[in-house]
Amino acid sequence: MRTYILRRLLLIPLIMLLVSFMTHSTFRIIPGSVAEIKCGLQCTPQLIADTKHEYGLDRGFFEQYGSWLGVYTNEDGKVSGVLQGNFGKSFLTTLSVDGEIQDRLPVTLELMALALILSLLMGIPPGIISAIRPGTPLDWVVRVASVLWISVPSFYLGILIITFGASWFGWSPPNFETGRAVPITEDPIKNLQTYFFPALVLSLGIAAVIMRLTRSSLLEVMRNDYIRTAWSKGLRERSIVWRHALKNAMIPVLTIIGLQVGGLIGGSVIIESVFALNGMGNYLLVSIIARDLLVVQSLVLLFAFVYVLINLIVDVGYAWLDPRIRYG
Amino acid sequence: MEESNYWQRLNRKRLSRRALLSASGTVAIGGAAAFVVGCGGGSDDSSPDGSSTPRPSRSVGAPVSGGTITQGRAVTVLGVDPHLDLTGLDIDTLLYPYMYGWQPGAETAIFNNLAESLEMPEVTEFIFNIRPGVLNSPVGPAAGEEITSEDCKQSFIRRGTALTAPDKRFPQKIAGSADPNLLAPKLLTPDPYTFRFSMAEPFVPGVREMANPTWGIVSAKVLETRRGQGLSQVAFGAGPYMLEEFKGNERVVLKKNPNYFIEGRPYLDGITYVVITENASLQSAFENKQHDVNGSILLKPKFDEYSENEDFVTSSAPSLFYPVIHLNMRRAPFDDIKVRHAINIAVDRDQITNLVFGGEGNYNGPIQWPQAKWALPQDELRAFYKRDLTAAKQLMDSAGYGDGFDVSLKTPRLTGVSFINDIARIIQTNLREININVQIDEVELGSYIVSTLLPGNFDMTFFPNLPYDEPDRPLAFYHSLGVTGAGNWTGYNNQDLDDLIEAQSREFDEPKRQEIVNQAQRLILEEHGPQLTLVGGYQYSAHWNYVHYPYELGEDPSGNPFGVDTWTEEEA
Repeated sequence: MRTYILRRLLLIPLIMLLVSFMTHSTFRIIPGSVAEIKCGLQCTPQLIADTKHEYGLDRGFFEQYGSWLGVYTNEDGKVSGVLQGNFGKSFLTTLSVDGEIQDRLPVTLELMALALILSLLMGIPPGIISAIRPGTPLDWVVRVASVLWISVPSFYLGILIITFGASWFGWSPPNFETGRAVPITEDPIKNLQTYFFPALVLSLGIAAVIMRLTRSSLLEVMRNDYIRTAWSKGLRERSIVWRHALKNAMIPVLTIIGLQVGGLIGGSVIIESVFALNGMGNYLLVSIIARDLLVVQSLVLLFAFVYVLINLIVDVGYAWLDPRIRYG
Repeated sequence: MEESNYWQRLNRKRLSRRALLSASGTVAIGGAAAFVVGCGGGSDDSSPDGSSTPRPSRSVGAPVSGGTITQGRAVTVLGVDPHLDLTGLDIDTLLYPYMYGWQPGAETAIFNNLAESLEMPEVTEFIFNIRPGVLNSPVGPAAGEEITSEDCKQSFIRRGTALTAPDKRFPQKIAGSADPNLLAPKLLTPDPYTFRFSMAEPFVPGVREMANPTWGIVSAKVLETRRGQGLSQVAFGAGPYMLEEFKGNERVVLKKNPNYFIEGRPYLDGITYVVITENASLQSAFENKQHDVNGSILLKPKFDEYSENEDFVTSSAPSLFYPVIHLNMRRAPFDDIKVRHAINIAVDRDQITNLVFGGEGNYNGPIQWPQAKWALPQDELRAFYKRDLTAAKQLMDSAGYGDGFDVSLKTPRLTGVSFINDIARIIQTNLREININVQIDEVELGSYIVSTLLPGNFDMTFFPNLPYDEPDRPLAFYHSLGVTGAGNWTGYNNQDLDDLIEAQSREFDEPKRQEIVNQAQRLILEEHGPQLTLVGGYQYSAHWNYVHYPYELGEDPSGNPFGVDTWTEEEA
């Protein structure tokens, strides 16, 4: 197991390198650069060329990529890049990407963590209830709810909450007043008021998937011989479900949870914008539109890292759930 | 008749300069703000005719000092460098002094700012008498120091030569060349309170230009100290407010400048701008009193709802926003005037007004209708653009396109801005009636600018022109050199029109200039291109009734620069 984890960890730098290389290449292919965005309608070929030169965007592919990575000199003649812990500066705002990440990462992490917790709470228990009471009105309610949650786009639900929250209850998130979310350490109540609804919106779709998978997986496990044996031994339902069935039923669910983290990252881009949370998703969106290469490269790298790490944790989780699983 | 409507509306609901600036946000969403070049640094809430009408529904007490207000913003402020950043222009005007203000509509300079007066012995010669005692705020490299002519000179040089500074035609007219090195010697500072320069040739738009928010005066010492670091994220100015906190994607906090040159102003202790890019969220924050001044884009139904609510003060103003469809005249079939003519009279402009602008709006000619002094009369435009499907079909027949053709209409994708698509759909439906099958092709904004608009890579494209309140800029889009001097995007070339556009930019005599401008516009009308001009509506704004703007007192609003006379009844 230890060897497996070590091998996976060693693969991370290679994956990161590939991801950043692909991001850089994509930016080379898609039309436009931050120079044109900066010049706007004043753009002339000369002005674009001058601006690109100022930002170092006229350097060769490997020169640019290498200097961002920190294996090649940058326009100041220094070697300072990601490998040295320097993500560079935004072309658009001139602010350091590191500083922005420090400010924004806690916002996105809290949003994702809360969304994940909510999706587990809203996904697993109803899924279990639905599986152990199939065909009952409760099962129907859960199944209809799951279809509804999957079907309604999260941004639309977010806007509904904002609009009707304001007109019916005179409520909108506290961060709308100050422009920033209060940290949990400062005021947990206000913090929860800020994050609860965006996290809820973000979690619904994932909860629905988890709910459906938990249901089907548990139904399947419940039909196994060893469960029948447990019933015939006269064990109580709670014991059968919790001690014997659920753990096995959770293996595919865990896989889905890992994959859904990618959905959380993608969903945060939109939800952060609707709920005015200045997290990484919002930052990525603005930077892609503005072709802010260094920012996009750095954020994609970070998102990829989080994704890879979570999937590693999920893989390790399999072994914990099912002792038969052994990684060689 | 439409013109009188315009003025009636204007007197009933006031034009706010804040509203004008926030309107640029309409199109600025998603980075399009980089297009913004216009909008003056005039007086607080001045109307085109300079008059002032108090809101009748509520009595307003005398202004009081103190308190702060919060205003919503739809657009992320990328920076507050007055010479380079275009997304924070409204904030720049509160942080820096300007040579003078501008009264839109009346189109006159107001000497309410750094320059006490301007002498123009010749139309090309400008002599500014700088107001003594305009001090920098008590923070930064030039804390408490007086603004002098040298500061004006260095600011003009930076604005006129910085690589990414917008429209440099005016500084180039001063320099007499595009060579940036030739500007500095032309700017003279005989003493600390006199700043003068002569232009190589007359350029009337320059007068308007100097009141633009991109022409802020920054201390030379600040410019020197910040060389290489820029002024995007910090501000050290002599305007009514100081920058206390800048987080352009979250909030921008301004604090009263105790050194401000007008005694007892500004009334407010501070202004906080809160950035929320989602319109519905911005609106809910305003309705819940989290914001004192609305920053969202208001459509007519919402505006009417607010207007009926005593808690809010609302205002509307003719929108200088100016949507057009560019036709690529380098390519068939738009190289055929009959086709362009057919399209022009097949478009149902009233339908656009009704469906997109809530029934309020007017026809735009080459110069948009709110520029009352320069736009062609509504009667003339309405007669010219009168929808006539029979004639349109005949024109298509005689051009050999009786069976129609397929064409792509490229539109920029701007998040949260629905009217572009709405207008495109209406045009698509209208043109189907003359057998033109329009395929709407939404292009991501960055690609739109670079791969579609600038290289002229389109047959038809929607272009969200921004508010210009000077006739030169809208006309420059038709000049063969375009607005950048590198050519226009539609391949249109008409020497007679070029001559007229250049002539109006040199003509300081207003009636004569109006005549030339009208001549140019009529010439453009006859060409039925390269821009398919449409209609323009109104822009709407609202604030809570405890926030006040000077026009509510009925006083001459031209007294003080923008933002200094705003006050609130609510304590912070």
